[in-house]
Amino acid sequence: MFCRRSVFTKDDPRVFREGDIPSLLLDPDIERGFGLAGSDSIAEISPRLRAQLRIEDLGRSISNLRFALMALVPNTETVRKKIDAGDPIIIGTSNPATVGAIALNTAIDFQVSAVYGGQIEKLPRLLPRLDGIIDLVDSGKSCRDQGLEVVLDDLQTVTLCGLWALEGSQYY
Amino acid sequence: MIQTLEACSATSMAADASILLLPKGNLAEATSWLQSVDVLPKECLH
Repeated sequence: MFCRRSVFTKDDPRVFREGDIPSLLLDPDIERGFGLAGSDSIAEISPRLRAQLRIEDLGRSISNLRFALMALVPNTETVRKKIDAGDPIIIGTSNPATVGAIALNTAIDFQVSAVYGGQIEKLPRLLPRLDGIIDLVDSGKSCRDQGLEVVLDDLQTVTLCGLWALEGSQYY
Repeated sequence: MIQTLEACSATSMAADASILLLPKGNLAEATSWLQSVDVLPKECLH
């Protein structure tokens, strides 16, 4: 019998943090594995791992997720003026590779000064040198809760990607 | 840079996979795609 409507829960042994999926696919105990992850995670894969994987963008946007530049409410006008003047914008983020791509696409001089794994929205209060953060937003509530306002929206969308190990590749 | 291939590549790889690894943060979207391309995880066959 096929379970066509299989429902995966977060406790399912096949469900992992997205950042761990690329190296798991290259584990010698995983044969013919196939993984799914968001393009935001895929963009941060190291070149060493990337060279051993085939990655396909499935062209499906993930809900309303997109990258945005956010700054503390009192600073938003200053940040806009710096952008207009072509000045460097000092950024905190969890996604340095994505910020690099956004800088190329927008021709804005985003300079990553702080990289942390999570709760990036707290950084601007803690690290005054930052002009703002570039992070994923959906509803934007968690950013508003931290006193942040979106300065530039829709810098990059997130799509679902499929990935698998190239033949003969191994991580360990 | 993400390599973009024919859409059937991922579909056939997913269909032939011995195990699927699914993203905790995007589980609903991953499940939705698997259903949309009619891929059934082999460990779900009884």
